[in-house]
Amino acid sequence: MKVPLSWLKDYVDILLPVTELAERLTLAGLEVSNIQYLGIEGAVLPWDRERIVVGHILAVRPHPNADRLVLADVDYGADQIETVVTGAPNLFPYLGQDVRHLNLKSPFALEGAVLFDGHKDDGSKMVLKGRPVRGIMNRHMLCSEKELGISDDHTGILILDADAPTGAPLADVLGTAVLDIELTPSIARCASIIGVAREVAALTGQRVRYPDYTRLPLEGPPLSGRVVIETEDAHLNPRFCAALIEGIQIGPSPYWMQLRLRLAGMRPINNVVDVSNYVMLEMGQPNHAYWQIRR
Amino acid sequence: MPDSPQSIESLDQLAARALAELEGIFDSETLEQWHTAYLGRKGKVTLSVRRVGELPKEERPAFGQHANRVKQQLESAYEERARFIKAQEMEKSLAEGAVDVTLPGRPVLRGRLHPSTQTLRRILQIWADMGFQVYRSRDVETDEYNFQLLNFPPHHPARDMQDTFYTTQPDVLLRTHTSPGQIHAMREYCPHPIRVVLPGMCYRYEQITARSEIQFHQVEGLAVGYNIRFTDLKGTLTDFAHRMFGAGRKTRFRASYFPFTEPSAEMDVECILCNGRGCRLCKYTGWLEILGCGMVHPVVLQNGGYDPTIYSGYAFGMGVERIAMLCYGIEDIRYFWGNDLRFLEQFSP
Repeated sequence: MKVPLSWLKDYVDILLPVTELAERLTLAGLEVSNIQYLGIEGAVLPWDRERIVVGHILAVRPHPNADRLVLADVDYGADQIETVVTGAPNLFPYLGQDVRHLNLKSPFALEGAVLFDGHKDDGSKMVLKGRPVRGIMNRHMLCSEKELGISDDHTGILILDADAPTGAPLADVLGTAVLDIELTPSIARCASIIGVAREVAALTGQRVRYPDYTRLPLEGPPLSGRVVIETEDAHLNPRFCAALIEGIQIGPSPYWMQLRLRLAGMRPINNVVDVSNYVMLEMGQPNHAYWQIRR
Repeated sequence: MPDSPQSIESLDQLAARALAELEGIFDSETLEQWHTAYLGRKGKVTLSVRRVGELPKEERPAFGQHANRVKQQLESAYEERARFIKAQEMEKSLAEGAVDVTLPGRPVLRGRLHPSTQTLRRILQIWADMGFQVYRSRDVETDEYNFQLLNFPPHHPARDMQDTFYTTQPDVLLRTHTSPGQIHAMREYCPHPIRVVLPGMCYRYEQITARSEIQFHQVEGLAVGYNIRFTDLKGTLTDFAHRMFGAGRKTRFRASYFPFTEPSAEMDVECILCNGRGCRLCKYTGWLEILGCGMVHPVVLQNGGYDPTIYSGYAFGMGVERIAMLCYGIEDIRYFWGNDLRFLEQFSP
């Protein structure tokens, strides 16, 4: 089971260095077989704290000499706004607009930063150097997931959640360690992030912070007649709970959720499937989202 | 030919041609072709003789006798030729494969003990010194002994930890661990105290890789009696580690899970290559996983015939090839059953 430390910290304070935590868990019977690092020390590509930061895209302007390139004005927390040349297709919809109010955030690499080469598949790295692109000097870069080593995706720049703090080191926003824990059949209670958090709390003398379930609004008209549940074998399935959620718009889930799912070994699909998987990983409760068929 | 009238003359002509052809044959393959062509079931001579019916009745006996003589003549010519060719071929092969009797003799290869056997004997020697008897049990087991009596109920997820070779006979399988021997030993010795080690081959239905084989040796240990405690287990196994891997070697016990022990643990020893500093062998952890162990589960004691409210016990199990790999720095478990002399010769007893 893969446990991203950043996710685990939602439920328990972790004051130990990650290697010590792994050792404590291993001795307690939750064998940590591997620790994988993303963007922080220990990773294949640690993200330079000074040179890879959160950028706020203020405007997307046309490139005077190229149709397939655009200019993006980026605020990265410094006094000055920087302009970069990019061919990222996911910026084209904003062409010619002032997008300051949209809070488009993206990883922003400054000259001298070390990144993966987005055009190669052999994992080779490159040092970002300034050079003119079609007559416009370009020193910095908005990054794709591939250039950061998050995934193989190089189809566009990575768009972070709108609340990512401008200018913050990316390592503080996305960087984390992922513990790979080999669970024995005796400790199914640990087969979730909260389950592991309980063990960590017990081992380190901390308290578990459970999610606030009382915030869920559980009022509404009764389901009877609108949802039918048929149980074929009551012995195998003694209890089945369902809730009807209406007015959902299918779309991508927020980036933080997609990243957590990916770090835990799952593939993000859309907001509904992702929430279902997220809650399963978080609480260890199997669940499924069904389409309601309207008759 | 078949159109010319059948006669003694035409038969003689055919025989003469056959004999002439025979003179020109020097290998057994062509000789066989010749035999088939003339004397075979559909050979020319055979077919020719069969046409005896075309002759007037009174000439038939004479022709028949003559035909038999011709056939015998051809057969004996064939046999003689065959002897001649065989002798020639023999001579040729002798000339080609001549033995030089002055060559020095080939040294006899001296056998030695397989690295698994060597490691197994070293382990057993240590346990013998500590007063454990060797107890052997069978390789082919029943599901009952391999799983159920060891507290693996049917469909229990712990069965997934060991992929099993089943036989065509229901509930008969190749043992996946030496632990069924615990039940055999307990049922044999109950109610007396037990101190045994159970060596043997185990079988698992797994992908063969550098780190996993479908067959390997285990040494299992079992002690049952009054007042046997976890501290006895820790002390005994630590003593074993000191005798096996060197006196000052540190050990640690990690909580783990096996269905037939409670509590369960795994014992690590300080890496024998880097002395705990961290290296490739120990994957930079400083520790090597050596064995699994624990206090015998009350259910298992009961299945062995012992009352768990009176008796207690501990058990442990280790992989012989795994320990050999660590001791000798062998990087691939497939070498053990690869029968490669270049590998086996490196382990002098």
